[in-house]
Amino acid sequence: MPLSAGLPPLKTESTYHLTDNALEGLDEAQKRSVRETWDLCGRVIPVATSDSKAELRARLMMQIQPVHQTSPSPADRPALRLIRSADVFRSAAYRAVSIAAAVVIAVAIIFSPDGTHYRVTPGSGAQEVTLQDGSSVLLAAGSRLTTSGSFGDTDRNVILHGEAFFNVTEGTMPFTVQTVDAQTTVLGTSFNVRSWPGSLSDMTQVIVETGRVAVAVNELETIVEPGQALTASSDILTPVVTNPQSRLAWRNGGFSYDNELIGTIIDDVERRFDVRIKAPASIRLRPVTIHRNEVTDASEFIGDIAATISVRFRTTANGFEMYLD
Amino acid sequence: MRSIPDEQFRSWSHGLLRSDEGSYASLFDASYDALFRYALYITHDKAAAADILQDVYLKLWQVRETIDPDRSLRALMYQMVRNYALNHERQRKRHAAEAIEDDHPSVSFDTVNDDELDAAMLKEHLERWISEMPQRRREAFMLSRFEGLSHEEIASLMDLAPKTVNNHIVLALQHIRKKLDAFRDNEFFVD
Repeated sequence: MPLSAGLPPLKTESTYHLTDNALEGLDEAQKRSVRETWDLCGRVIPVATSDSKAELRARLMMQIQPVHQTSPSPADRPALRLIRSADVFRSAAYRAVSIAAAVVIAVAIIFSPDGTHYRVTPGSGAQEVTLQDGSSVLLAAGSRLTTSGSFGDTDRNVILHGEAFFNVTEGTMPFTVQTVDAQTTVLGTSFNVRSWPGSLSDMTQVIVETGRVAVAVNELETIVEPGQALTASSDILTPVVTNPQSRLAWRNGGFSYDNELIGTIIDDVERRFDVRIKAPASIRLRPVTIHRNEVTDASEFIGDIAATISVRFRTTANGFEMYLD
Repeated sequence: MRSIPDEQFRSWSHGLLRSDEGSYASLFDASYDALFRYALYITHDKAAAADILQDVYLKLWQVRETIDPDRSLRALMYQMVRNYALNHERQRKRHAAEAIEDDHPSVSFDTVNDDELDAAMLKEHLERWISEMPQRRREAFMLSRFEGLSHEEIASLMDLAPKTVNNHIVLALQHIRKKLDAFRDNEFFVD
């Protein structure tokens, strides 16, 4: 009986060759035996696939879309509907800037069967959106939020790229925020999630204002209490000790950082004001502590940072440059 | 991934350098299954393999501007999967050493009923024999047999001499053959 009797035929893509070279030093019987085994194994090629491929693809594609996008282009998505900001959101604490920006689209909302996409244009200020379950979300400039296709029916799952303050209505279904490295779950509460993949400090950060929040990374899970904050990376959850409430200053148009890398602050300023800021790594990697309540002018704030660490800055065609003498 | 020409990989590299989302998506579609299998060869854990791929693709986008189109993107991706998977294995072993491990005695198959002895059965046994091999031997063998990588490619990926890769593959085949012969003898014995 041949070795491979009863087995499926060789799959064409798996007919790789075992060269004579590879069998150097074996006698003829051994060679034949090894070849037969090689052939046999070609009939049982593992066809393992992952159930999470499509889900990962959707999440990745959302997370990599350019942060600097002046305005969504309806022409690119002819089948989808864009709604102008004035139709759909109540301007939040950032009213003055919102009005100034009302001529451009500040939030693009795209409906599709696999969920609703919200995208806040860089330079437009924080924007509030209300989800189907009545929960409200204040989204920082440059952020994107996608609700699941079954949001409100069988789950309350959203995917976040960027920073958002959630005010979640009480409900029987848990409300879950998925970021690139962590999953934050609540029943009804208010909390802040920050996750800018690819930035200098790209770990997800969760700050709780009211209620209790569960944050999970892989198999780790921890509960965050009101007034507490937490930083999540791929295998560790670290409590943030320094005054977490000050990190919510962005909601009112402020900037507040304790010992934060300038590179991270620069990213925030770029998104808030839709400007480009050039700075060498020697400046970007320097930590600084700075608190400002309402910042309406990027150059003033950049000037403050430059003064704090004694470097120079100048304006450029589309923003600023920080440099050393 | 073997069947994808180098030219295509070069074009994806250039696409990534331009931050082109379309290139990233098409690279994802074309490479995911093979890389998932590779992560599985090392970890033996579907959930872990899925996590590893998430890390790899995200990292790939983060480092896209540093990609050198003159170097093989295919090799880079295999290398990234390998690094993340080995890292995962190290952590798992550390955790396993701390916990009291449940011992799963390997199922003995000397009571095989020959009615069950069909292709699916043999396939299952083959998979088990492959999985019993030491991790590096299994990795070299599966990359060669199922992913079609050349001995040179495997050698550079695993940081081994091509001769060692060859030894792993031949030893793997001999191991399978020995199991197979024992299995068949047993089958006749039942007869």
